[in-house]
Amino acid sequence: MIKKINLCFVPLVALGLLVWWVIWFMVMGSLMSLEELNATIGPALVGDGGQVVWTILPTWPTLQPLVELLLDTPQFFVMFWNTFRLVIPSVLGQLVIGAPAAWALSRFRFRGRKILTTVYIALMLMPFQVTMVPNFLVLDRMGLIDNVFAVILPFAFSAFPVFIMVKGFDAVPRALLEAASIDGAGAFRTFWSVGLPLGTPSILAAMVLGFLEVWGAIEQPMTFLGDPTTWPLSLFLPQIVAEELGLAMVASLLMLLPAVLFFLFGQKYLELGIQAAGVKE
Amino acid sequence: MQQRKYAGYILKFLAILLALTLVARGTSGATLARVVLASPVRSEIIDAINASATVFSTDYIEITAPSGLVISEISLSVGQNIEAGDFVASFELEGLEELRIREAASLDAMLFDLERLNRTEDVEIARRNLRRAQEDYATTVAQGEADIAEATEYSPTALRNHERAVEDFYAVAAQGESDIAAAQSALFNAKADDTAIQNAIRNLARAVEDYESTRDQGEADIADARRQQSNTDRTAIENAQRNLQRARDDYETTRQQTQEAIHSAERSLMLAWYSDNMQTINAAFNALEQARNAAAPAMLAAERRVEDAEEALAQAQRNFANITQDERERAEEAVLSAENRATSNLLTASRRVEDTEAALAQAHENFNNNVQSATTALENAINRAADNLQTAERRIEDTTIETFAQNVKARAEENRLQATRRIEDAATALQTAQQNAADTHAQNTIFATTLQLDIAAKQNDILLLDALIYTGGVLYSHYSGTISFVAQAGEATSNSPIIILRDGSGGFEARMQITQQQAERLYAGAESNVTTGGGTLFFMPTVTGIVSSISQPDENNLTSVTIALPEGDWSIGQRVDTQIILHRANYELSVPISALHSDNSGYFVHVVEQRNTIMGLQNIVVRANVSIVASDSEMASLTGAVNRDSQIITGSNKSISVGDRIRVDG
Repeated sequence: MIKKINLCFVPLVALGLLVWWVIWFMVMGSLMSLEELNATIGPALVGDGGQVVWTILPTWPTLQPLVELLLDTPQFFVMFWNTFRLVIPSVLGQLVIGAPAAWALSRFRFRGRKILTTVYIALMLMPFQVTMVPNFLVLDRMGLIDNVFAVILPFAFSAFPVFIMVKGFDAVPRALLEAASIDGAGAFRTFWSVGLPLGTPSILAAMVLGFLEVWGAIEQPMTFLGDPTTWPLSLFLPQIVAEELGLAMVASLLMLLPAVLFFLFGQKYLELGIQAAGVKE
Repeated sequence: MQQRKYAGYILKFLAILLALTLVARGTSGATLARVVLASPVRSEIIDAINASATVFSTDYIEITAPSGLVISEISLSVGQNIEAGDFVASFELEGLEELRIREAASLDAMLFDLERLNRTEDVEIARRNLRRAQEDYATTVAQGEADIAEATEYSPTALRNHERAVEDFYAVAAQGESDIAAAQSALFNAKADDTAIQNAIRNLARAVEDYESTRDQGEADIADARRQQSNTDRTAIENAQRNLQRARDDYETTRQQTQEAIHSAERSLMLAWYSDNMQTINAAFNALEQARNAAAPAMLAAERRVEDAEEALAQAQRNFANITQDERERAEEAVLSAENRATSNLLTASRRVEDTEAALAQAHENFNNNVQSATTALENAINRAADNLQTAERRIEDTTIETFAQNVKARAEENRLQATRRIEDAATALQTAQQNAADTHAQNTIFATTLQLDIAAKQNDILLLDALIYTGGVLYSHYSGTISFVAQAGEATSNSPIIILRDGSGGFEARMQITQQQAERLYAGAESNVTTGGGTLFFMPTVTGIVSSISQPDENNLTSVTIALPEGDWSIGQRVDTQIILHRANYELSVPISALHSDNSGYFVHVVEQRNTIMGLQNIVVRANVSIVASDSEMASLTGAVNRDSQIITGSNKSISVGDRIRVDG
């Protein structure tokens, strides 16, 4: 047994280090001065020849990029709160619109249900590049281009959370629903009092995933938001030039933190939700 | 629980970010530069030259004293009026007399230099040379004509010389033939004379024959002597012993061979016997018989050889025993003597051969030398005869009458040419000397003129000194007027005046210095606003002056400008401000001078542009390149990337650069 653990331990550690290397690189890069960054990874970015050198620890660590970003770059914070301005309504929209839709697809049996489910799945599988032009045309017709709702509404009506929640609602025992029905609960009451509490893990899982999706979204804001005052944080990094490598490193780190915290917050429900999605009654 | 903990982390993170947001906004706002904006307006721009000037009087009288004196007393002041004959200053008498003596010596030196400048000698020499060359030319031409005239007439001398030349020609020809014949004869005799060679060949043959006969004789004598010796030598015994040993060895070898053959035949017989083959047995038996039969004669012959060898040995021993010691020694001596004699005779014969060979070679060489000498003599005789004949022919040609005359004529012409060249050289020299003399004269004239002026000044100084000495060192004024400048007691006099009087009849002028670039735009007659000092806080009296003169730039590229002032209450040395207006016009797009900037690319202004940024609508500094049409001290008229609506930054509380975010004041 111990031997088995040891044999598994080494490759797992190696893979783990491979993943953590990126994080370590970013953290150490945020503690390097611009001169050291140019000397180490500058050749790869400028493209004028030279060797790229990666050091485990910075030779001359400094907090200067961090200070510069946090105290001297108000644009970063504007975009940070813009991101929240997009994320919160999007996630709430997914909850308000997606949860009832998922309950209906899970519990109700109606004509065209399977077709509708298939359409939902098909929409979920399509990448943004495929739906970008139709989305743009619809939003333009609605007059929502250059408006934050051009990003919020598509996310709110996203199919993926519905898919997650359907699987979660499928795990709710029918006996409970029948018992509620016998007790006189209507469809909405059943959904509100039975479905939502029992489907909380999948709902939260969908919300966490939705948060992560919207937090890192770059195509939709780049396509639908022309006004720089509405740009989210995902559009901050592309603006940084080679002379601001330190800022890029620190900004990447700070952009990662909320996602990590939210993930840790919803990790348990995420696991439960995925579990529930795999179990069928 | 864990969810609560992470929820708490999220809230704390968001709170920190919120606080940092406020801090970042605050610091960003605090670092923004505050600027003052202005739009281009229509304004009048006066292109003027502004400078400070000093007032001088136009008419003045300078009272000077000889340089090098020390003012012992001077009791005048600026502004004081004096009359002609008034006391001006006094000087030390000793200094005056010393200066007078020095000035007189200096004057003498100047006069001497002046006299020296007027001398010219080189031209006379050149003239004399030219005159002589011309005289020589005339003489040469006359002489040449006389010679030619004489040579063209009949001349007995020339005829006699010609006949002699003909006789000499025939004599030379005959002599040449005779010399050649003699040389040919000598060559023939040299080739025919080979007697010495024949004699040498004969002697060599005889010497070779003697050598061979001597060699043969010597060998025979040696052989006889050795024969004699052999009878007294133990060599015979040793030879006999060796022969005996050889015979015995042969006997032993023969015996072994015969025995082996017999044994081999016996073995073959035994083998044949065991084979029970009668034929084989018979053959083997026959072979054995043959072997035995062959062995006997061989053995017999070997025994006989041994016996002979023993007999020879015994004989040699008997012979040797019969020879006495003296005979042996005599025999040895005889052999040695014969050898020595033979060697000596042979050596002598070989030397004789060598000598005769050398004599033959010498005879050959002598013969060749004689022939070569005779050949050379013949060639020389031929060449000499030809040269002599040619010389004689030329002399015949030269001694003809016509040739004689031509030679004389050629000589005369050559002499004339030389004389002509001498004249030309002399003329050139004269011209050069005249040119140099003219240049020198011109230069000397200039020096003399300058020197005369200096002499006049020096004489004037001497007169002044005499006058001062006469008055005991006191200087009186010859003019009346108001003192505008006075030197101080104790100062040494120089070229500068010690007193300047203004007689009040003239006007005033302002003198100022401007740059060469400014002066290029200025012209005489331009009006100038002259602002004097005084006045009140609100009113500064200004008068109009006229530019009267503009000087050339000095080494510092500064130009002096003189402005004629109108009548007024001026004082010499007064400082005034002048403004010469060159051009005055209204321009549409004028901005304050503070808005203008320049770099290597030219002039530019900073313009505010509103841009939609992440932070919202912000004022960003943008560069606009402009050109200056006209400018004065306050405003500048521009053309370029600006218009009436442009918001140009005319001032800021911090330095700004293109791309900076700014805040607008007011």
